[in-house]
Amino acid sequence: MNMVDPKPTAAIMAAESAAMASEAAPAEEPLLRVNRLRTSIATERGRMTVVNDVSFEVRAGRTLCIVGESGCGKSITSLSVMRLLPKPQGRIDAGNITLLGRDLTTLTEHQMHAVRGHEVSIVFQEPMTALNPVYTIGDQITEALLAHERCGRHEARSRVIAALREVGIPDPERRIDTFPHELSGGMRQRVVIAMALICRPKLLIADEPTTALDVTVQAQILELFRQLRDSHRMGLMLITHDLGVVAEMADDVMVMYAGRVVESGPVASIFNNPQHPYTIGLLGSLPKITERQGRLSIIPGTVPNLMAPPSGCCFHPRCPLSTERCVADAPPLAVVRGPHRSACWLAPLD
Amino acid sequence: MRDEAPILQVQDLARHYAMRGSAAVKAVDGVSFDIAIGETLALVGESGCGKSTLARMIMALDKPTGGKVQFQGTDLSRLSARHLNRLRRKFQIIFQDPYSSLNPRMTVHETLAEPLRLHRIVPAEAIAGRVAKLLECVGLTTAQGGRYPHEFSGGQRQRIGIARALACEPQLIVCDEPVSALDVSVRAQVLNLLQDLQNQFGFSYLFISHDLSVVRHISHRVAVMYLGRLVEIGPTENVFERPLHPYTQALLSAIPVADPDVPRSRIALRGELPNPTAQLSGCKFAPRCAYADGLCVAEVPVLEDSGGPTTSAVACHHWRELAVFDRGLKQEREMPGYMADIIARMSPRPA
Amino acid sequence: MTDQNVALPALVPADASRGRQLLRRLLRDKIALFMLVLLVVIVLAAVFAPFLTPFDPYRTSLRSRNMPPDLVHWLGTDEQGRDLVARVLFGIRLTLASGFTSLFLGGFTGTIIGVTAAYYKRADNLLMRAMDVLLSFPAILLGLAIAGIWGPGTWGIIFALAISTIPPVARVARAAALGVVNQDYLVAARALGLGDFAILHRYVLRNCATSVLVYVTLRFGQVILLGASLSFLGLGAPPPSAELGTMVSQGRSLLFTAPHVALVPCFALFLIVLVLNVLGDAARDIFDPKVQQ
Repeated sequence: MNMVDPKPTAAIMAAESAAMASEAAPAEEPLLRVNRLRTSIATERGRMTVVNDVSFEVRAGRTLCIVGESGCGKSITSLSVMRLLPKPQGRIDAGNITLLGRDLTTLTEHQMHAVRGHEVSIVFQEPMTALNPVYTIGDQITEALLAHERCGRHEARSRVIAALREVGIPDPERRIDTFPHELSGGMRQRVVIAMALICRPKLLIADEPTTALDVTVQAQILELFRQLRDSHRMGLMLITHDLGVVAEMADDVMVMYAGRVVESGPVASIFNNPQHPYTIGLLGSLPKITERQGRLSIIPGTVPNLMAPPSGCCFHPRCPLSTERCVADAPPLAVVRGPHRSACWLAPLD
Repeated sequence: MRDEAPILQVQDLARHYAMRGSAAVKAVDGVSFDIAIGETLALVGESGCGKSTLARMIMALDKPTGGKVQFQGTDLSRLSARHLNRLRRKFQIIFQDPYSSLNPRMTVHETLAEPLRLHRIVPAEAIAGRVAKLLECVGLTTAQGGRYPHEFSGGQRQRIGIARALACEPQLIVCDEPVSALDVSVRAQVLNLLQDLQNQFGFSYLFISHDLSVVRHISHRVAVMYLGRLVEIGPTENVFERPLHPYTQALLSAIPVADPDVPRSRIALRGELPNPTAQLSGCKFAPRCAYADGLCVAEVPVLEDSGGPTTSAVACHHWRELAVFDRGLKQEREMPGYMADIIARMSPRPA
Repeated sequence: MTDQNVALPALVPADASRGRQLLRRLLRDKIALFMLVLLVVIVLAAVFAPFLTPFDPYRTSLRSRNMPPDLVHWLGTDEQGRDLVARVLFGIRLTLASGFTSLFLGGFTGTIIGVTAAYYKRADNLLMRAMDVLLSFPAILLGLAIAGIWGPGTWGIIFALAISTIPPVARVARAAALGVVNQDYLVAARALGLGDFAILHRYVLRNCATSVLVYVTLRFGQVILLGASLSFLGLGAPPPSAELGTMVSQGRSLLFTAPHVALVPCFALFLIVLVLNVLGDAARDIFDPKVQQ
């Protein structure tokens, strides 16, 4: 059910300007600003809105983590930003995506070629399917380089070797001529990262980049992301379902549920002082590594069917606090405290 | 728990794969442990450590090349195929992938009735009733019994898999990463179910997982595997609060904790898992260990008790000299009252 | 489970029944639907052939030889004066029946062989190499050999076609079974203590059925054409039996004087094979859609 945002009242506008004033980030423009994005996918049973009224920003040198469970729309959001939705089923229905001042939704496919890999890159979950098994890793990284820059063969080779060294691949002069199947999962993911960063994009999107990797390898790759983000001064948009990764990596967090943003804000605020029942339920259901508990708390019910989403607030069927207003109207993502926003009529919850 | 005979005894279990042209791959290389009645032993390790191979040998789905598996005192490799199949009802398995663990062409009812019929657990007339009870046990309705697996979500399919394991009235259940493929909120439901069932029926679990927070929650003892060998085994609290082996320490330090204020202490492991066919002398962890020396490369460390019946056993030459590892996890911050209140309202304690 | 581009398994609720799902897909493909209707018409025509024509397909009439189509004989008569409508209807009957029988025999045997090869690794090499040998015999050679030993006849053609169908079906069944054998639910079945026969029957075969079925429907058209070729070469039942291929062969000499004698059975064959090919293709999309949701 499509709920149009009510006209912003004076109170909300005052809160917004207060929020903007209190934000600690510098006054520079964000790298990426997504405004009221709506994306739908055609299925056998009709068109389904999988990303609904999503807005967020990513700034240089900072990491935004988009967290949510399967089906919440976080991957589709990243694909929408990259304009990589499956055609013709996927379609951006509304909203704009402003990358470094340009609205990506207005660009032609040809113009997007110049953007992808050059201004914004993406790293996916499965490194084995991201790499072409019949070409060496050197060839593939070189291809990514030459797609955007003019470069002689020798210069290209030395730049690729430098890129491999930067992502921590030992013995890059030799490894540059190996094939993907000769490398382990962690190594392959590093190669994919090198490929994504060879043209020094300003923004890197990583969609569950470590989910398929072992815990110790995951730690190495996350550390690599942090280093690269700092040394390149990139913006990093990290999509994950693992709240531990969010706590480690994020500066800002955005929680998604059923295609909508339910909460967003700085990481400390979200973890220590969550303002949406879904976030609270999620945090409460995590087993603690510090101690053995009796029973884990759960979120009752199941994720809604996006073909027939619930009226009003998408979380109300499972929420212990839901009121009549929650059933009737979808709450907007409103300021709770400074940069911390929540889409809940009852916020602030404390 | 400790006084009765253990339900499972694994002694020097090994599985070597002969490869043409290169040395054998030793997926499991001399593993020994016991599981007591009603106990949950967690088996932790990363890919390539051999835990899946070990699970298959315990389930008698694969023949070991060395050592033996004893279930309730019976050596499984000495049984005839017929006897083994009859004994199988006592030890069952739950799989990781809910999407491939159920026969897509059998209804839920048929899937659950199969073991009941096969092992004659109840007479034919009583099968429908028993299936209904099993479904109820795992939180599903009888009406759902007539549906096919593809009509259920991942969490529900996992419950059906659990019901199938339960149908045999087993005494040991091997859980192979049962919640890894599930969403966070569904994970909690399934973990609660597994614990409730254990409290109700008293079976033992061999819980294989790479997710250490889940392991902490559900297990009594933890065994850590690396490249086919056990490097540490002991009560859960010990392994988590006072890990003795460098690999265990690295593993614990690598887990991201869902608390932004916990400091990140990274024990950086050098390098990567070596090629499985590489011949490593001495301790297999030595190439990546910050404390390795000549002794480590020369001699294979043996699991030795760190002293006392409730403390861990560790396979390391230098465990005594290693610095005490503190992950900084001890202080658990108090959850704000409003949060605890909302969480309590979401899942009221069962009566 | 993880398709990294569009991970939607959790979102779209599965249908209440697979039958309804298949039906919906079929109804969406208009061309397939049309062809299905046509096939039903053809099959009904074949089944009720004796009631659809007043003429006896075997009765000759020297007076009305090679007559072009007119109001009495709608498609004309052949060189022996037999009504072509009747001949073609009975010919379709024979063609469909023999095609179906050979597919059934070959499909059944091939499936058993393929599934056995996939399940019992030790037998795999032996069985598949045997299939390779069989595959290298062209159907025509097989037909000739059988005709040489037992004399020409429809059953000879059926067996030749069945034998040439066995190897490809075995390959398809084996590939499908290999996919099943690696699934967890098969391991679960073994862990329960089920015997081999039960596993093969309830777990492996049931899950391979779709792949084999799709292949077999695709092959139906091919088999019909092969059968017609064999009977064209004279390996089928001798006249006056109404086989479409034989009819074409007999009309060959009259191609410039009375072309309808050869062209009518040709067209009948074309129609049948067209319908079966389109449906075979559609069957694949209906049973096994690769289209992303």
